[in-house]
Amino acid sequence: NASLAERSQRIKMAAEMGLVRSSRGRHWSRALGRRLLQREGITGCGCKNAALSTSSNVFEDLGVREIEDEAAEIGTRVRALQRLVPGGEELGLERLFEETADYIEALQGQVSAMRAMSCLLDGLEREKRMMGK
Amino acid sequence: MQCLRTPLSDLSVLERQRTRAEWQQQGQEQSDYHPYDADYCMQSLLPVETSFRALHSCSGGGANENHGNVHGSNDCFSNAWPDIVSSMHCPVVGAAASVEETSVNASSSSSSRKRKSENTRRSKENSGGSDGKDDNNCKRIKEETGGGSAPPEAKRPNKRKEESADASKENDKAPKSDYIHVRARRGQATDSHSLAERVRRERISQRMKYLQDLVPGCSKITGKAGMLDEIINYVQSLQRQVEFLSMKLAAVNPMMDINIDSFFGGREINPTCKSGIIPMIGMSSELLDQSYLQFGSLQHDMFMDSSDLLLRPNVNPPAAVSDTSLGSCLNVNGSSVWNTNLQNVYGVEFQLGRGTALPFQSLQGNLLPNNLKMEM
Repeated sequence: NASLAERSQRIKMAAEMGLVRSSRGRHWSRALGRRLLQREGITGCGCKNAALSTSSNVFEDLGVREIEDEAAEIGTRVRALQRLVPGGEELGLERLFEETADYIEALQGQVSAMRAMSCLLDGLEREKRMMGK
Repeated sequence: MQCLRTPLSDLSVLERQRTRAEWQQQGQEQSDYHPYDADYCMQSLLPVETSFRALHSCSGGGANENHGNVHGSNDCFSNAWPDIVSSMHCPVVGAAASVEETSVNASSSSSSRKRKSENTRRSKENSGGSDGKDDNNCKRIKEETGGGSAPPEAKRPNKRKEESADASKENDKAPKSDYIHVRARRGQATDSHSLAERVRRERISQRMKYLQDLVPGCSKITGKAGMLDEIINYVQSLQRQVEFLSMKLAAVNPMMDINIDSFFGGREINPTCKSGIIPMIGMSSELLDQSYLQFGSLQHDMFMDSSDLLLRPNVNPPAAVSDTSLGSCLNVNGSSVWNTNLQNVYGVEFQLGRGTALPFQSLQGNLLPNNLKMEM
């Protein structure tokens, strides 16, 4: 039997695959899919749609002109968000927020599904043990 | 589609769907392939229902319709929502329908619109007299000549100009041009750059508001930086939860494992990219396709129905599910059919885990304790 860590990693990958498949067509889901493929060492087709891979300048999008510090603060946070959301680094602020919203919703669904599964399995294990006695 | 079964009595969900449907439109045409064009797009604006018609009817022509593939490969959400939204908006936008009728056929694309302007337009056309919301930044609708055909005239209800008591600067109606006309606030610059920027900024704040609703506990925070912080934390916590739950799933059932190699079997799913992947459990890809759509919509169901869950009392014990069916379902090496067993699994779960399976509203309280950080 494989170790716990290995199995959990595989389960996690399955979960992420599930995310990708259930949200086809979203930018973040394509990016996540590509990332998963890369991890498995499968060379992707190299075609990344027409999406530009340069990181976009979010400062323009913000329109914050008043305080330099504020802009810088926001800038770092936006960059952090870009790193969190798969495929976020190529997106402008508006698109980034869209993708973030969709990604959050997908993650919420994923978490609740996995939680449901683990509860279910838990209950079954308990039952098995009880029956076993 | 299962996602159409959502209880419409839940207003916030409905509103969210509406917003998302609009964004689908905004996002589809603009940004999936041309992220930078999105912000400066000078495309035409169409009311919801007619634009959806355009979406459906025009799948080939026009500069902006290289997204035909995207439509084809979309999940059930994006295909279902136009139906929901257009049916909702039909009675309301009826007045404008006849005016737009001619333009729809000629126009070959639909694109971004602001919710505010749409509401305003709608209210104007409905009441004919009362000013709706903020009508200062209404966008006028212009038709874009799709492939060189004569631009149809979009007769915007300019009557509201006269009815409006506002002393804002007004743009002249220039029906034959390809520009987006934005009404400027008093005292503000009207050159195209600042207007476009303002439009963009308003869109961005719209998105932010949506995110604010989505992230629990965010409504109290007002600053941009604080909100971004909350969003980042939330995303991180969700990702950590996924990791934690996958660890828990592995721990709970020692037999559970997944054959990773079968994921990447070489079957093509993404029409725009030739590399193929097969998701989840290693079975035939057709089965998986169905199962994934089901999984997606089931997730959605679970998501949506979770508020109902709270109301229905915990009823049936898990005895209904036999050990064998579940065991075979979750054991990859078995050759069970994912579809039906998945339904069983979720069916039981709704009755079983009601007390413990937390509905999504309470996710906010569920941040991982720090000592459970795992090294993978």
